Amino acid sequence: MGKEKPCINIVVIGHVDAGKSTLSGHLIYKCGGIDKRTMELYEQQSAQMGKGTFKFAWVMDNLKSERERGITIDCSLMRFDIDKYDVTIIDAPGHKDFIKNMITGSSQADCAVLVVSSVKGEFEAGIDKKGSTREHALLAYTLGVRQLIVAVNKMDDEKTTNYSEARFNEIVKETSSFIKKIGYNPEKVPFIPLSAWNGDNMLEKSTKMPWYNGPTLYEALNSIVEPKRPVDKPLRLPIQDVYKIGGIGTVAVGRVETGVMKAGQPVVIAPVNKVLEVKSIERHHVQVDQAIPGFNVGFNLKIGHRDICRGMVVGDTVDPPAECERFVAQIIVVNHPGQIHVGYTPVVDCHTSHIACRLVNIIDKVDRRSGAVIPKDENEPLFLKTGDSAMCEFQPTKPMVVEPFSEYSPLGRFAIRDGGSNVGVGVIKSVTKKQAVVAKKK
Amino acid sequence: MPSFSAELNTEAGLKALNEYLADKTFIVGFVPSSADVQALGLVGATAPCATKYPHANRWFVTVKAYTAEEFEKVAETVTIAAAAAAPAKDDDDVDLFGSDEDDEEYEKQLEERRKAALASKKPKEKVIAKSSIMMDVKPWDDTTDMGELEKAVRSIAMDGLLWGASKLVPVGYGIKKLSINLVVVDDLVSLDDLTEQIEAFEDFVQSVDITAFNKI
Ligand SMILES: Nc1nc2c(ncn2[C@@H]2O[C@H](COP(=O)(O)OP(=O)(O)OP(=O)(O)O)[C@@H](O)[C@H]2O)c(=O)[nH]1
Ligand SMILES: [Mg+2]
Repeated sequence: MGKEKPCINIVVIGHVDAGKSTLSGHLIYKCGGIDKRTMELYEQQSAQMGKGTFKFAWVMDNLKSERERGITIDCSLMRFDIDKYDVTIIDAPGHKDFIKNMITGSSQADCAVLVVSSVKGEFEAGIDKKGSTREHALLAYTLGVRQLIVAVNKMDDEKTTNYSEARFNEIVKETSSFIKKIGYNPEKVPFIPLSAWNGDNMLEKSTKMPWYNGPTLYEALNSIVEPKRPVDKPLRLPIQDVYKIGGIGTVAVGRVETGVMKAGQPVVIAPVNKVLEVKSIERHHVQVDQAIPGFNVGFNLKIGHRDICRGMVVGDTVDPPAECERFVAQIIVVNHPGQIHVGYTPVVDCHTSHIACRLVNIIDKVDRRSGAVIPKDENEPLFLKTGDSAMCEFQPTKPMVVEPFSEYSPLGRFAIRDGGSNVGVGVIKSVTKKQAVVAKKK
Repeated sequence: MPSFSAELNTEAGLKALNEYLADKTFIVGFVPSSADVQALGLVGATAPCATKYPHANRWFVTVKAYTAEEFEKVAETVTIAAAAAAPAKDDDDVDLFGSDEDDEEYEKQLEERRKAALASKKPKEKVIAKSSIMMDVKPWDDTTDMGELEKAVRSIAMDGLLWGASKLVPVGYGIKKLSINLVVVDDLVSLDDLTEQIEAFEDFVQSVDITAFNKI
């Protein structure tokens, strides 16, 4: 079902009670994320409850309680289908470990949907200086999520909004300045007045807002620019696990991030600089000839299983990955109780590697969105605190393989961790690689 | 801390007000307050010029849109720095609208108002933020007893942690991984801690990866 459609991830962000769950639920309900049988069950139950029970409300409650009990193991509850895409929706939680997961996990978002409530008072509270909306939006932008849709929700609200064009325009104006501060260009962002609850401008054009000529949410999602899957880049596959299998030998497992891995091809393992042949590849227990970006695969290598481990990177021989000596990154300090000075050595979580890196130089403080350098006083050493962004140089304390974000984004973004909490995030600008000679296999 | 001339009907006063309102909807906090009423009174009856003072104009239009009734309600609830009441007597540059504490006070009130509004709409139990997570637990090889691995994982108990459904997923070469669903209370469960505890079952577990992470 829908196998040929490209898959995209959408992250939904917004203030508490803006209607994120309702909006996601509506799309999942209408665009078939919930399988037929479950749906029929819900409808039956809803009928049994007697009159007055609104079906959609019932579905929403069920979705929630099902999630709360943790009884689904596939992610079908967060999936739906539109004309062009197979969509997975991420309802960004406020959990403090979410940021790290967003950076190192598999679900890099292709587009963010910012939900704001048009209700008087609710909107004003939502565009708050603190709170996770700003943090999530800033993070999405920093991590390269450049497509944004703004859903102006609850246009049906009888007390204050009432499908009012004036209220919508006011919100567009204010939200534009909010997203502009984060770095988005409001001119390129669709603003959609809608009611996630009633369905206005969700899938069908609302008759109650004749003044609006833009796309429905469904149309806007279909117009998301298809993300380029980096098949024509050199191969990069960070290793997750290594197994020793009787009769086969060493099997490594990981997800192809860029390029293609073919059975029989020579690959380089960094940072240990070994050139080996990929003897075979399996995916879900089925042998395959090649693996493309996004595939999670196991592959057989002729190497001692103790000689490779999680955090190493498999690449091709044309542009092989290598141990890095230092790297320069733009970081944003999200949460640190004090001051960060040169010498600070937090753990850096980048792809599957987890290595302490020493901050050896704070090159410049920069403006978060433009990247413009903030002039400094040459006599005062720079330090960083929460909210600051800076161009910094790091030196790993152990062999580590990273790449510039612009070339290999999954290997070029990282979370900065200290004592189990998230201090900040970084995007790698340049890497100084160790000049080791790859030991060529004869 | 806002600080602009109290002579809001002069060009200089409007300019200062406009700058002050560049990133704000209301004078103080996120709801209209007596501060807005006072400022409105000082500005006068005509809206500030929209091209010259776009922010002041936007504010003027927004605040004017509230009915007297609505205003009364919020105005009552607000204690505002007295400076604004008698601005002319003070210096030219008056700290019109109070301190950060007032802001906090406001936000508290705002919270209450929002909660009250929600309660009247639909009784909603106090929301405890929770996340739904999918986790992959990987064994050492194809001979690891996955049943025992799962038992070990499920033996971990934490406040705010609920283990959900799980299944074994083939990886390749006879290796299977355990995909397990869990629900956590955001403020109670650290995933670093949990991962560490799972990985401490060294006989069974090689590594843990989180594959999905959603708000409930
Ligand atoms: N009038 C109206 N109410 C809505 C609409 N969408 C959501 N709501 C209501 O707003 C409240 C919050 O909706 P949710 O979807 O739970 O909001 P949320 O953003 O997921 O909230 P959190 O997950 O708690 O941050 C609920 O009472 C919804 O019924 C809408 O389009 N119109
Ligand atoms: Mg929600």
